[in-house]
Amino acid sequence: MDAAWVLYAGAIAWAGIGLYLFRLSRRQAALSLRIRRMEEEAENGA
Amino acid sequence: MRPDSPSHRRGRLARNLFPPLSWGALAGGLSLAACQWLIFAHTPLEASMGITQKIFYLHLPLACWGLCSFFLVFAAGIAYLKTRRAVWDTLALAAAEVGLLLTVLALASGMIWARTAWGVWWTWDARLTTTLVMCFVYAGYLLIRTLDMAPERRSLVCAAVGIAAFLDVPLVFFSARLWSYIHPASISLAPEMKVTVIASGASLALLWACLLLFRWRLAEDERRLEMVARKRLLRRA
Repeated sequence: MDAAWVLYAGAIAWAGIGLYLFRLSRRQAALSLRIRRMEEEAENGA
Repeated sequence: MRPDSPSHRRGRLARNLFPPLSWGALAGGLSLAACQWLIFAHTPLEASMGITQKIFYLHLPLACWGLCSFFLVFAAGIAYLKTRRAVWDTLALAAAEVGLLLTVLALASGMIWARTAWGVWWTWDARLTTTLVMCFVYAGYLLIRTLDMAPERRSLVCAAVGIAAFLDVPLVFFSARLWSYIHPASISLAPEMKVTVIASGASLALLWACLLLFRWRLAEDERRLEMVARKRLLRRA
């Protein structure tokens, strides 16, 4: 099949996007947790 | 911190929401990668257009989820006007950004299709024109969000604009039927093609939902951070 490279390139690109979003979401979760701690500090300090 | 305090509840929600969201994004990406096999190996080659027709399996889901995003902007705008809760405003922002991204990608993939099918990159067909107008309208909506205004006033203006902007969405949907010119209103598909379209649509739905929730959470985090900073400033003053 002469379009096989499109298949593989597309598959790699989509898997890459999925992996990138996965990592991004983990980092965002950590950031959310830090913001929550800051909120708690602000609430306790007020 | 008390276990029933708002912060504790928010934290619990974030902890419950994020792990499935991360795995959902990964599953969406991997299932779209698997869809490449369906698109290029499982479905037959279309006789008149050849390999370019394969764009259709991505073009249709992109356009569909783009329109769904704009419906969310509309629904979130109404919810904000009714409740005045900032969480609806941030949802509208996330939906508008993701919707614009998907619609621009749908337009770009449609142009590649048009070059092969119709011999031109662009033509002023009703579906194409209304979609382009929709892109400009939502780009304008996102520009309004960057204006220097009081946050409550900006949210109110954006909710009203988001509701008004939705007027173009049904026009896009029905344009190919109302003013039939060159863009097909419906396409008859072979059974293998139907399976591939449904699989691509479902995989993109997963990725779309995760992208939307990421952006929503990010906008919520930004808002919360701004509130914490304001509290600290007030305490120092």
